[in-house]
Amino acid sequence: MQAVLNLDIGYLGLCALSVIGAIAYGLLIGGIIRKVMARIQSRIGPPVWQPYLDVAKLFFQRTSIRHGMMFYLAPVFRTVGGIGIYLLIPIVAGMPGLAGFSFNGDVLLVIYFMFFGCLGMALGAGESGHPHAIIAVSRGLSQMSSYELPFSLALIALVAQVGTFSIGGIIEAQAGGIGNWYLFMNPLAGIAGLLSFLGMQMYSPFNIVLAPQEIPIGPPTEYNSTFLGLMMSGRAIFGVAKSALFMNLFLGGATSIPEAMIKIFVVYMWAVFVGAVFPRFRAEQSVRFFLRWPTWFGLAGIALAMLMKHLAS
Amino acid sequence: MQSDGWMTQETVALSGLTRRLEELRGDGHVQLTLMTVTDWLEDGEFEVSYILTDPVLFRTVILGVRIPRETPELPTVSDIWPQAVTYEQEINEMFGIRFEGSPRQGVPFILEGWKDIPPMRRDFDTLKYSVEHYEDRPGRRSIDTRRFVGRVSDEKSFTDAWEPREDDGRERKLADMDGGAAGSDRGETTDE
Amino acid sequence: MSNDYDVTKETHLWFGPQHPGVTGNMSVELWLKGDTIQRGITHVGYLHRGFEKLMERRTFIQSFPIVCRICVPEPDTNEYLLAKGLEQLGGIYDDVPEKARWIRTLTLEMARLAATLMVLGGQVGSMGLGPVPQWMMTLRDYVLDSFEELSGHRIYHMYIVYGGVRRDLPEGFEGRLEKTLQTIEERLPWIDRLMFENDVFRKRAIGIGYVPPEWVDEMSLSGPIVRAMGIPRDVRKDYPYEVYPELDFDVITEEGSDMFARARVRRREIAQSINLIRQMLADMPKDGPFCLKLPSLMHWRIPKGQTYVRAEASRGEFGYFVVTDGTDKVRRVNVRGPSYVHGVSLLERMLPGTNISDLSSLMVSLQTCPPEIER
Repeated sequence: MQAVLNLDIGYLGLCALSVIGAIAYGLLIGGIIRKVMARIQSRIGPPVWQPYLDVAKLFFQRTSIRHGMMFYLAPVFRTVGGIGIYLLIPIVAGMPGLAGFSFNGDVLLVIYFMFFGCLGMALGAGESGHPHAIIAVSRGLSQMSSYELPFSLALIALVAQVGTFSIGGIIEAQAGGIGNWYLFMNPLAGIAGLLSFLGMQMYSPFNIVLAPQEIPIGPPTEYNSTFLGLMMSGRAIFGVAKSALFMNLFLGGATSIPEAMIKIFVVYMWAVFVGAVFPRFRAEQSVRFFLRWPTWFGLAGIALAMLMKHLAS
Repeated sequence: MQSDGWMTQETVALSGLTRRLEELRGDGHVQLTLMTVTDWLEDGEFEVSYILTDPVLFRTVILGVRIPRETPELPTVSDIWPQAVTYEQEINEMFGIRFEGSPRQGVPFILEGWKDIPPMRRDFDTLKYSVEHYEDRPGRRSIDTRRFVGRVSDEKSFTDAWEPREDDGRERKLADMDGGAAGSDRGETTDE
Repeated sequence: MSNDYDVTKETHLWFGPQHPGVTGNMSVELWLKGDTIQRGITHVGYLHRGFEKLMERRTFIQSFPIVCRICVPEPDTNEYLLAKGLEQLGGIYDDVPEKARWIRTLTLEMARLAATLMVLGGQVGSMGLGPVPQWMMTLRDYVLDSFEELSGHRIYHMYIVYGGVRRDLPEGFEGRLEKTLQTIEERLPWIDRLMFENDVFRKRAIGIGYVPPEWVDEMSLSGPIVRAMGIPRDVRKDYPYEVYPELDFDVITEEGSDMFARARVRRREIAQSINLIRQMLADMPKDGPFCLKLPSLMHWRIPKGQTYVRAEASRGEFGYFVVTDGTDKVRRVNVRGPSYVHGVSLLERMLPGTNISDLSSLMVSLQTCPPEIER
């Protein structure tokens, strides 16, 4: 809790700067993804700065749609959830503004924040009254609970092995070379984490929430203008934060900004490349997928962690 | 040398329609490929055609039945061929023929809020309808291709024909309509 | 079908007309329980342009720019059928020159190829796999380039007219078309790999969208839907037209009658079309007229009569019912598009029990095409 107590204006300014930087980086990754996808599909694709233009355009637009308070608040919830999770996660260890408000137990808070954004979105989409949005919300919530199971199992294995609930502690435990990264130290739990990360990022085959050809396009159906722009920035920072979380938990964190950027990009692209070559699952197929192999991997990972701990002692 | 299978055409009286259809179906013409209507306005009759296909021996029958335009009613065949419901629904909408016992009669298929006479009938005047319901864009220049016919080689009449006309196209069309007895297609050539 | 989300309340949902998963301007009104469709009604009418009525007021040659608009991906079938119907009724069908028949068949097969490429891409596109549809559209574009060279137009060719075709093949066309075919063939293994060997696609397509074989005669289904049941039914073989009897091909069938089997049929039909085009390019007579001396454009009158002509489009049996009455205009033309049955009666019958996720891929699989429903 040290960092939380040492708040001052300068520190907050650094944090704000890092949030803006994260949004910008997330949007840039979004642009790169669109370009990469276009190249895979033998298209030219939009320029990489296209998401900036989109967001800027959306922020300059106004809406006259009235749906209710929750409808307006949902993008705010989503963005706040993204910013919250981002600020809790240390991006670069020890760097002011990027080190995060790390304390013991923050892993649990991060998981809660991930749910928080989605729940806010669900409430807002529900109030928009569009049946597509409601179907998407029910799909999204069931998928979320299913991929959180293998993710939690992988996390339990990790925590059991490392012996701390703090992200900072987990990073410290992985210091000292690639061999110490948790992905290689406990590959079973690492695989469970990798697979559940696919669900988290919601690229195909797990993009059942947006599912453009089925329920176009799910929760944001009724959103436009500034709200959509806010959601786009929320999605950008969410993506960065989730990738950073994954980087910290399984890839040993980062010690400099370029390293963090590269690792986040690689983790992000893992989901994108899988998404490029697979069609979308049906909703119940997606749920079943996570409850099958990733869950087994997670359980095996816990067993492996216990075994290693036992052997070490 | 080119054959279209064995296609026969026959007509049947309204009273014998159902029996003949059943006969043909028992004979192997099990598919109802198409069901359609021709409007013989001058005879005062509709001709409903059933095109039946034998998918094994590759035979086709066009079975026509003539019904008076004043009382356009027919028994349904949707109990034999389920997809006939759609054909009957569309014919009901487009020609105003009623099929006894068919579901979805009177349910709009393509049109929405249609008040006029059924539009596929020959006596429905599309030009009159469009003049009554839609307005010309102001300043619209009408290029009537009929003015070219037969004198395109003549340079002067070519430029004359392209001369923008000063009059209001709407009034001209109405005048054409009154003057032209049979030519319901006049002046409409440029509309689509 | 899983009832994991079973609730007692039905959700009322409009699937279309503005929906990226719907094949064209149509809509399906659905009543859902959870994710499972209870019943649905097809609604059309968003695209009605009254082609059949328009044709009643136009001379024969003026009808050709109209008919090709009935089907966007595959307009040549419409042009061919109208031309054939008028030729038969006007008594000039047997006089159509030999070379015109070959070029017509070539055009029809190219159109089938282009349309099949598009729909096969759409099949996985409706499930969210991006690359295959994009590649397919690119390949289709190459075929359209050939069409442009042939007729001057990319989409609506207005190439086949009564009496033959509008223009001869351009110089060196065979070589360039062959190059296009090679490009398509090079890409096909990629598509096999990414589509038919893809576990997720197999999971979503095998066993989904089953059509029972007894519906075929009951509802007069045709095309790949029937061939995917293992029933070898193809207008090109059953009612041979133009030069198809002189070409060497078999009717492609698959077992299973589900979305996967239909996709397999389409995939193999692409190879078949390429093969047929090659045969035609090799066997085609090089000289000779490509068109009859056309009857007078303005004053050709066709005696009273009626006929039904049919051809195999990529979707199934396309038919034209043409009635003439001795004037220079048709009395009545009725277009029998395969989607009229597939998109309305068959789709409505298949909807109960379908998962909402499968609806758009099901519609692509049935190849519903609204313009030919409302005409």
